[in-house]
Amino acid sequence: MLEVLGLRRVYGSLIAVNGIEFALQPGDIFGFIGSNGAGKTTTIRMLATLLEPTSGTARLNGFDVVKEPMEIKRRIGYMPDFFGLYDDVKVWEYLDFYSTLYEVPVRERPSVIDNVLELTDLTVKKDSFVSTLSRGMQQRLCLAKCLVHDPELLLLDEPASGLDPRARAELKQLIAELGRMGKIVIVSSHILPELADFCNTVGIIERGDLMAFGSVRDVVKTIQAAKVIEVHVIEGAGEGSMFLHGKPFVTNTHMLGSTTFKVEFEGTEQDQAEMLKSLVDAGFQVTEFREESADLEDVFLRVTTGAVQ
Amino acid sequence: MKGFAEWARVQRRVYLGNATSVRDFRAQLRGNRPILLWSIYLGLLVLFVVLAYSNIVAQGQQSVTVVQTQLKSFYKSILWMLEVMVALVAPVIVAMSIQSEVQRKSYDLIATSPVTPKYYLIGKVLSGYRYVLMLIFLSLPVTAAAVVLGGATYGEVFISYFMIAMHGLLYIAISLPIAVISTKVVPAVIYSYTACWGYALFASAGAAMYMSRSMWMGGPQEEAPFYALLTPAMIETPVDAHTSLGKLSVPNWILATAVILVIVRFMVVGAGSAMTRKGSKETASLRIHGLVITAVITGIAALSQFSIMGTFTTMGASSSGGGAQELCIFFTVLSLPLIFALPNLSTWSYVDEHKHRPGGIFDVRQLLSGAPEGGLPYLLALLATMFAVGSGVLVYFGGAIDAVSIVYFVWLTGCWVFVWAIGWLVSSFTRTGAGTAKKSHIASTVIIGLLPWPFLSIVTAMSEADWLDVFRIYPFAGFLYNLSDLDTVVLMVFELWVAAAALTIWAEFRRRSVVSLYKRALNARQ
Repeated sequence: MLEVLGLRRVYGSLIAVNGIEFALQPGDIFGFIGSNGAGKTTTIRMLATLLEPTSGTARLNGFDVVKEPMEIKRRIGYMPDFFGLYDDVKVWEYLDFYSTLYEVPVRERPSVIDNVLELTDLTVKKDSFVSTLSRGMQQRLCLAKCLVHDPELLLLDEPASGLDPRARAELKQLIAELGRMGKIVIVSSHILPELADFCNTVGIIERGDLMAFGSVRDVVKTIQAAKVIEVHVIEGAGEGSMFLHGKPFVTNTHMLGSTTFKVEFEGTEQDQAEMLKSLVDAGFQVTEFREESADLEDVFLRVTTGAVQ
Repeated sequence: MKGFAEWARVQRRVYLGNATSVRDFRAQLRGNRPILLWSIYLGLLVLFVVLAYSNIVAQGQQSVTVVQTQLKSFYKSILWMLEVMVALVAPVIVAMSIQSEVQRKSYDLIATSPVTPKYYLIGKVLSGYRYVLMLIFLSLPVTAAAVVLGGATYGEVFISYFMIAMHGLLYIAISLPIAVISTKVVPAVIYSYTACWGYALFASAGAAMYMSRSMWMGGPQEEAPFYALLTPAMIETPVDAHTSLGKLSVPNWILATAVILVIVRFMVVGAGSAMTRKGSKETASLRIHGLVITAVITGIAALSQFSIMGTFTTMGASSSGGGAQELCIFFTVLSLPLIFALPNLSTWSYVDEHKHRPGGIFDVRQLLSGAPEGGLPYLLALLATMFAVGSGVLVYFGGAIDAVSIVYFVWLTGCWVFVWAIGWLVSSFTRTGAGTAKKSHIASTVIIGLLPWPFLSIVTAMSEADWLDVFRIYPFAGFLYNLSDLDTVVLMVFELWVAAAALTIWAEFRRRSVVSLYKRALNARQ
């Protein structure tokens, strides 16, 4: 379990991260969303023990990031947004280097290297020089490096940046697989649709403050107090709109055309069903009655102002 | 027993199976480039030998003595060439290796893996040193020619090669902390060269001066002391040169090696401290090493000085200054390396990590933590150690510390406190981190130290005023004065301590206003 407890980072009078708090369970894939300069990378670097928090801390399975950095390092895999691989070594040598650093027993190293290469689909490149790999493959190699010691927490900072759509899709599958393996995965990105696909938890950070945290559904619900229901009728959208205006739980209605109107609604699903029934009973020929769901992008735009520090 | 086994396991991991060293080794020897480089190097060496030998042969028949002299100089020139090669290669190799890793951003990946700074740094030292050793070993056939032709014995070759190899290690160690604290490859290389070549030049000149002074004062004249081996000046050394430590006669090369290994350890710990956070064991170790090395170096220097120079042992308040002045010079010279330590002890910053943020101005509890408020206590501890050990050895040899010497030491302490206060003050004007504060501190110290000098010289040249009276306002005037007059020294101490105190008060006032400024800004943000 990862507990982030009031993590704060200050540079002079600038607050990069302002006492954020959240907790993640094994198997959670946490999408960390924020504009450039919002504090994502600073937070991840503090969790990776690269930066010292000004105050607050984080605990991974009881080990403290500030007090026990060496224990944390044994349990995390970190992939930065920009990283350099050693061009002059072969893929297996690169992984052998990190296996040694992580004290993987000598006898187990060949099988560990083979396993992570298989998981990241790089087996055929085992004897290739790192410099010959494509950007997507280098990204996967860095991820493979993060896995040689079977970490409990993976910190992936903008892992999909610079990848083509296919490489991005493959990376998403890989991250989802890691989540299924019971690892806690923190993925930062500002490409929102790709996070919604495989993250079960998201957090939105803005100017160092964690503005929202929870499951994708909960976060969307938090910012969208009223449901928006789009109603299609064969004719009489204006009348339908007028009919529902002022009814219980209806806060507002909008005309979208001669056959379509929108209803802002605050009731439960039962109330929603009652409203549909009343429309039909009133003689409106309803062809479509659909709740508009906000996506992460809507949530992000609503929650944040886009200001960077 | 369990603790020892764990210690042995860690040492084996650091020195034998070091991943950083293995990785660098793979990269260093891969492809055609190393073969090409080594071939060119060997070719140059062989060409040099052929030319030198042809030159000797071309002179026709000569006496054995003349040929012997020429072969000796041939052997010496090989050693000099090797020393220059090592001094060219060793400083750059580690600096480039570490900095290119930082620039490539592959260092972050290592920093998040469970390795200590020592592991990483020793790996870099090993991989760099391996290169230097290859350079040295490849020249062996050439030197063997000098042995076969009669220029040197195998024993001399062994000692000389060993010392050149140790110098290579020393250069690598000197460049290690520079590589760690630099932010780019080119400055790291330039600073490393400056430090190593600066060390080589000044240490050689210093050793030569020390030796001639020692001989002048009645010391041994037949052979160079062991500390000359720490410099490139004495590469060619007699195999049986030794130093007497009490009843024990220790070969000079062993003593020199021991000192170099201590310096290497100090540099590795120093670089490790620069890589870690406040209160790390590396920083505590560095500070303890600093105190111990200060005590040891002061002790060795005092032993060699006070036991050799009879005038020191009869020191008193002589009318000419004599012994007191010698003692003052002794402490002044010994304290000079503080100039390198002070930027780290006196600067602070609120925009950096915890270890750069002061929680006050003076806190003895932070003596070993690396926090800025522990800087002044540590500076005073270093000076007190120096004085205690130096005076102790002097008293042991029957000397006495007179009033002038004590007051002079108070002046010397004030002088370093003044330099410390400059650092504390410039930090309050710096908004871009401790690195900038350190550079500003060095620049400010140089300006304050050097600028008044030509100005005051002009004043004395253009007026009737006494040189001494004009220079009295110069804070570092103690380095220039004849310290025979107690009243003058007391006056200087008063002036300097008043200046140091004023600067410190101003600096602390500035620091507090910076703190409150930041606090207000943070509260407003909340």
